[in-house]
Amino acid sequence: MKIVCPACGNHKSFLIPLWVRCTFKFNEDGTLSILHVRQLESLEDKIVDQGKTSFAITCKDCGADALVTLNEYENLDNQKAQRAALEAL
Amino acid sequence: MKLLCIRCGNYTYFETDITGIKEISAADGLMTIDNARFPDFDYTEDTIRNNLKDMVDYVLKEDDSSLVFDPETETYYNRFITCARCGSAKVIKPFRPKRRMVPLDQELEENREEFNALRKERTDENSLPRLWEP
Ligand SMILES: [Zn+2]
Ligand SMILES: [Zn+2]
Repeated sequence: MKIVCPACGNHKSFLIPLWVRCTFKFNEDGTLSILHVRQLESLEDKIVDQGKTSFAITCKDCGADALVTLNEYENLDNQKAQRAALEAL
Repeated sequence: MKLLCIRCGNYTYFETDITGIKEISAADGLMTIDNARFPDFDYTEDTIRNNLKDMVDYVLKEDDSSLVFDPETETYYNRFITCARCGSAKVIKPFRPKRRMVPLDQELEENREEFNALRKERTDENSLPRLWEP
């Protein structure tokens, strides 16, 4: 898998939004303290779903939407699997 | 007390789902995930703190849209915040008796002396003797 920024060419650092469950408490002075943070989404699913969801992976340097390409062999595997499935029919 | 779980009485510990931000770094074909850090701040930490605060402020301010009424159980459920103690979504703003509503004219009249005293303080301050001349 490869991630690149089509706008500035960055291929190292990207930002990804992820849902988290936050356990917190109200302090007596009205402020909030965070007790625990748990990630709710799998990062792998999220990356593979890039483009299908409204939340995109963005370039850390310029903020543009990043481009994710899966490995060629993964695609080949996929095609092979699809062909096998068709043949089975 | 800002929020109350009407199932277990907890008013301190709660849970909510918010969006966070992480950084993916790619180097030598390896991908790692960590907090998104910039030279002077941790974007991941700031996002979590800000989004949590926004969510709590929203629920406290817009309790009409964050509470859904279930006619079957005749209780309110919070769409965004649950109790961290018992897991219930029956999290509401504690009931506070409505403040007596008086006509504004009457309120101004009742507070007239207090207002005059406040104004006088300000005028007196301006007429204090000068101790020092530039
Ligand atoms: Zn970029
Ligand atoms: Zn509870």
